[in-house]
Amino acid sequence: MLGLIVLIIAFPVFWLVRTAILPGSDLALLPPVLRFTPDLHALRIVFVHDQFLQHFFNSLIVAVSATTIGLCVGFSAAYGLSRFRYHGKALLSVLILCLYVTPPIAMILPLYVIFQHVGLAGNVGSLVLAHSIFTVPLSTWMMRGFIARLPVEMEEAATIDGCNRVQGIIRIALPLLRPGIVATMVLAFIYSWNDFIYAVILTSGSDTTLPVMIAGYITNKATYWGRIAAAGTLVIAPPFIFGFLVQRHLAEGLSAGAVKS
Amino acid sequence: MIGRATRRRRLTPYYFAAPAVIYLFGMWIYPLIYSVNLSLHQTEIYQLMTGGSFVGLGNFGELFQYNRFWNSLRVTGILTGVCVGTEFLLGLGLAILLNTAIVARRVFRAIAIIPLMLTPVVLGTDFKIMFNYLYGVVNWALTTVGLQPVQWLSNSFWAMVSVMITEIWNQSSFVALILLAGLQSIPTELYESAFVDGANNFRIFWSIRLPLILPMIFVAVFWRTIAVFRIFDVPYIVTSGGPVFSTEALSLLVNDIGYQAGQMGLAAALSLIMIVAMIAFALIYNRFFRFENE
Repeated sequence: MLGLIVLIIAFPVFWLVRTAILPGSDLALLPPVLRFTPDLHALRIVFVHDQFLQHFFNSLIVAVSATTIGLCVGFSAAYGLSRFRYHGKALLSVLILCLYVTPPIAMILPLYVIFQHVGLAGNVGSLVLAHSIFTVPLSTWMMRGFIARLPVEMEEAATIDGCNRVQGIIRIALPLLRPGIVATMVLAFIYSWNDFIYAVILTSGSDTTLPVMIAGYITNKATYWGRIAAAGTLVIAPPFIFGFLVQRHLAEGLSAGAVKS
Repeated sequence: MIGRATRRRRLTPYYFAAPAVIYLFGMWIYPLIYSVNLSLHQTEIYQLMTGGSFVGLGNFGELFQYNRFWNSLRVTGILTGVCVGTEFLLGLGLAILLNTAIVARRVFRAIAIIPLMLTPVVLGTDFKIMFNYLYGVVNWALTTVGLQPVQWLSNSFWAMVSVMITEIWNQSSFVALILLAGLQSIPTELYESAFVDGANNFRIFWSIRLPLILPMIFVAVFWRTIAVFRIFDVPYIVTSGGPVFSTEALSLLVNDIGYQAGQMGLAAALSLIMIVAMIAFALIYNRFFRFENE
């Protein structure tokens, strides 16, 4: 039973990699050829001809920036929401939730216009801001769960020893929260890395990200299967690696602190 | 007299909240107001800088008479219902399986995460390749066992199925992960006392496990519903809105109206409807299930 599930899970990925290194002539062969000499032709085209590295760096810059913004704003908000009680706290919480559930396509419309007015149109920066619409609430919710699990006594002990609040956070809370912060960073990064809808509308040409580049291989004339698979295999590598690294904390973060332990 | 230290202490939470508040105003409230304004005008894409003519609620009226609007509502509704439901069942099954298979559980959990990590665009193109009518491996497998090849991507019904299969394959692990965490947080003493009392496996599941992971179920269903409602990448890549709009979900329709046809005002109106629907869903769900604990 478990074997069948593993098969179902692994097969599409296996197929992707296979299509990436299949010699072009074998692509349309049925029954599918399982023994073949790997052909890196598609990979070569992707790198040399289609500016893979350019798009790679775009994706990377956007993802790192969006994650950073998300974490900064999110952690601050989460800490405030977890540790204090104040007027408007519930409202802020609800508003962040509303931001989270707003469909991206609905945000792109006004943002597209606003960015044009401001002169950010087509810029990588516009994409960073767009992605932060997701990373900020995500970071807030995840960090809120993680911070809530951290006993306040830790920071209070720090204040007794002479630190003020902020120092207490930096010295005591942050190191303890490191797994949570890393998990949050990874999820935010993966989201930004994988994003398509914001990227395809807000950027174009050489400013665009990897997913848009891959989608561009589906044209009216032909679908470049080999290149799609080759680029695709490379594109999914970072999320895979990061995901494995933090898989233990993923469930915690994904459930956003819903269960009080 | 409030001393300076006291005032600073009282204001501290607001300092923490400030970045988020500024962010919310700049990146959500302001664009939303802009969107509302946009939806009240008939604005073509080339009029964006100059503004279009005021039509009041005309855009909304036009939407309600537009058959593609109702079609995309139907498509999105079916997608959401079927995908979330199937993902829940499969995820639950997977979670239960992973919970009991103690041997190399870490390895299997790592494998189970694989579908989740795939970039939707890559996922979509991969499945598009596999579902190809003539050269796809799925049809080849079908013919090998004696079945007829299926027009996965060119038939209205099967196109929906293809999109759903792709999405379900992608995200069932998400549900499984969350539910697995819930299952693993149940103390084993509960099982043991139930066994002593003579309960069989099914009873244990129904009366102990299920109620205790109910919060996780609500969370998983909530996020999946939100996510499938806004789905864009998978239908766009796999079927481009399907043969004759049969897989055109709401997001695709907004994209088509706004950026293909250039009717920004109309697109804004539709996107506002989507926002309202989602916020209403979130608030009502929250009220009922209270997963947003204080």
